[in-house]
Amino acid sequence: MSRKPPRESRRPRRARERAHQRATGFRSASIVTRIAVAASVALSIAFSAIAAVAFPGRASRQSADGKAANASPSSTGPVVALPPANGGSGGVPAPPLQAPVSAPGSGQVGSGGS
Amino acid sequence: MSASGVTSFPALGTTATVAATDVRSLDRAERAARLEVDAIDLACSRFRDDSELARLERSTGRWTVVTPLLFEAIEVALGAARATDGAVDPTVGTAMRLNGYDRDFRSVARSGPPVRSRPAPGWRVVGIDASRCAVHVPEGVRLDLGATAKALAVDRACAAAVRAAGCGVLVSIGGDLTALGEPPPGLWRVSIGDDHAGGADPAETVGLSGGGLASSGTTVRRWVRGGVPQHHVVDPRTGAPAPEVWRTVSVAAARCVDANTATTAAIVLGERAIGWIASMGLPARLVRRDGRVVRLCGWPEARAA
Repeated sequence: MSRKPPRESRRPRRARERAHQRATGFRSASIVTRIAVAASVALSIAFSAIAAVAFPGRASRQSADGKAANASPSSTGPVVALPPANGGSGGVPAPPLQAPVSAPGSGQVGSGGS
Repeated sequence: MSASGVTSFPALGTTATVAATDVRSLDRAERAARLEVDAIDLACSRFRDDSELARLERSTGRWTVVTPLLFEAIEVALGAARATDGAVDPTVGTAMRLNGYDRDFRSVARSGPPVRSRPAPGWRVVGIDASRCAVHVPEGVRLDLGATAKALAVDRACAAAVRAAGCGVLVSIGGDLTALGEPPPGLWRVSIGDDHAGGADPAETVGLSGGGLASSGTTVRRWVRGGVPQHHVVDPRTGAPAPEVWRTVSVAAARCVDANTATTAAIVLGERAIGWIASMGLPARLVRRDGRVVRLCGWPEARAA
């Protein structure tokens, strides 16, 4: 004849089971949360990089009265093969890598008022 | 190494010159340069009815989608305006017309009745939207990209020519120039004077290893209205030709666009140009009306005779 375990001894066992279930649930939720956070961060980085390439510091706005307003047009970067370090920023003229030097004779081309 | 070669062709109302360190690549360099210059002319000319700029003028008052090339030209012009605090301003188109410079300079009447100048509305009225490649020019505003578009053409043409030729190339349009790639032995030699087409003092020849060099002056493109001499560099604040403090200004910079922005601004700024150019470290040569020369930031002294 089996004996039913006393109520006092059954209660800790159920509590242990519930605690185990809670811990399992938390672990599952934690894994899902981590994956979601990691994915969000990765997507944010990816979109930021794409946006930085697609919109390199240009913007335009229109004022409330409908008139166009210039929004700090940035200078285009240096054209291909021009010295990148002196490509100019925001349209500010940048000095050459090397200043002109005195040269003998007449030039191959002239530069003056045009 | 092969000998260098030079060729010239008419472009943008003046003369374009292409020089290559390898004469065998000169044809390729010239073809590539021509394509770029022609493209800029078709996009930016205010003297051609079929230019994109002329079409844009017919759609003022609303946002207009433009080609990437015209967008770049307008963006460069606005960048120059911002960098010079409005001394170089693309909204001087109406002022230019009122002053009599309303067609290709060869066709401009050398004399005529008095003109009444009108200040430029200011570059800030022009809107640009890079995401749509769109431009907004208010009604009544006319753009003149002359102060930067020619230099942009030089920079683009030279880059294209170097890619095509695979050797050192110099491209000059009306004396505004860019050199890229390996320079020739003895560097690229440029004669500096009041007129790019001739009359330069050999003592003022400079050697350039690369980058841009431009000159602006008040002695070449001149005409008269109502007995008052006019020239092509307009002060946007008044709409009238800038006071003639400087006869010719030459500047070396990283790009031709940079150099040309600085020379045009210097003509407009007058005496203040000295401090402004020096603050940016740009090698420059400024010639006063009486011929006295100011050299800044390492621009070489004239060679002794």
